[in-house]
Amino acid sequence: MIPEQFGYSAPTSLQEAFSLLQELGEDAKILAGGHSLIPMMKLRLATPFHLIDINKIPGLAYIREEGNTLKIGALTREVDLEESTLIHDKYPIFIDASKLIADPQVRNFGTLGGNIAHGDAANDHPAVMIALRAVVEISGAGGSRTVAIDDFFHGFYMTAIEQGEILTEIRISRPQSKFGSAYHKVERKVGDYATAGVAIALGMDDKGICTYAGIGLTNVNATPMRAERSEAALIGTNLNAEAINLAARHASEDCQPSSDLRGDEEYKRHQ
Amino acid sequence: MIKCKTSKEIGGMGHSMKRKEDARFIQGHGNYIDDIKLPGMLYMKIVRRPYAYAKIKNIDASKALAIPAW
Amino acid sequence: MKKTINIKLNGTDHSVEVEPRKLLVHLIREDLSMTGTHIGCDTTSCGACTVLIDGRSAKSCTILAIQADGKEITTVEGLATAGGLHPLQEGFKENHGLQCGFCTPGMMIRAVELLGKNPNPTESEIRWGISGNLCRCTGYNNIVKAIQYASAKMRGAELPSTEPEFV
Repeated sequence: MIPEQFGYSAPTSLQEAFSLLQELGEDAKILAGGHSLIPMMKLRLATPFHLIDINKIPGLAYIREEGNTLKIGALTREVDLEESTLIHDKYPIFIDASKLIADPQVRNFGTLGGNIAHGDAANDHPAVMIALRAVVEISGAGGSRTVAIDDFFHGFYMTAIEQGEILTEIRISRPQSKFGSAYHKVERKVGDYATAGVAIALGMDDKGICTYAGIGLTNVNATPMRAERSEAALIGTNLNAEAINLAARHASEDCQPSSDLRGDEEYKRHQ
Repeated sequence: MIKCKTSKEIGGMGHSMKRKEDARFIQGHGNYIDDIKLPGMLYMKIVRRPYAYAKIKNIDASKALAIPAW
Repeated sequence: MKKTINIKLNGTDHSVEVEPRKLLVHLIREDLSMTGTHIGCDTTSCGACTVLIDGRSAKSCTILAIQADGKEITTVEGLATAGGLHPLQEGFKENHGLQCGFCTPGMMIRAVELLGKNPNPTESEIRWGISGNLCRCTGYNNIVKAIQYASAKMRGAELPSTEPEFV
């Protein structure tokens, strides 16, 4: 399958990319890892007039900690997350999620920024971002702004990124308390989208009382979803079975899955 | 179970046979149908009828003909 | 619309004019006539089109040729050297790691990167490592054995037996 014709530019600086975006307007699409966009273009589900390939712009791929904040460049590949010792030691939730995304070849190219900016509730990282209460940096010709993850996803394939802007960085502030995180998804086979997925981050104080709860759900709503009532059900408890069961029940009541080939609504709620 | 195996020198029973065709497959010379290129070769796509047992009254190929051949 | 790109394919430099929409796999198979890289599913699932781009395994049906500008590409044709077959090629041959052979080039190319990063993988690491490559006839047991054989050979370790197992 061959995509519809399109123009192509590979700018070597962000400024150059911004001016191209402004010049070309809505018909231009950013090409990062391309492993969601190119399949869509081959199936002619997407027919951008022009692609702006940001892979030749230096300085967009990095993983570093500044004080209590983890900063990840938007062009960081899934494989780099998987192989990072910093991520391994402190943010294993990314390893959980990255390992479940597609397959090794796709993870060699797919980027964290692309996974989020695509705005697809079936992708895995959005739920992780919700659990970790990430802040994303969006840059344009006029400078950069930050958006909390809860204000980022507007609808199906729609995000807070405006015309002329590029998602450039993901920031995560680590809670001070004892902190743990994990991601789990039910999938039919390796590489499939989630039937349902859940990202959880929990913080506890010295007495074992839950002080931080972040729960994001994958593919059970039109947008990546925060399980607010479930989070509230955990905070202030010692995370006993009763609190966890209540949180799980809230999550299953509050999600809005649609029935599809991966299972009907009832089945997905049960996950 | 009785293990039936001839000696190494004789081979055959209980021994694996090396395949003759593997050499080209593992070097990328499989020569599958799609690998064959002949001079003047054209590509074809079959458009099947959307209705069973319907009568074909005419075929409008104008859209297909409008696509530049390459 | 066409742009000229420069790529190195299996050690040879090429300068080719491409339309931006041309996929890398079509450039390799059609323009450069290396047909060892196959198109299986054409939807990023099967891995038959796997090639190395600057050492990273990639599904070439999901990469634009123009994205490979300035890169070094390795396909199955680039595995063997003057000294003979690559240990992976030998492993697949010795362990009956193929039948129809369609998935084999992608499988071997993927395994090159896998063994490069992890020279002595466990069986489950191998299975996880080739989870983006589908085989529809041989089954994965002999493919795993083939990769274990290549791993042993490349490390200079004792080669595992290639005799069939009695059950």
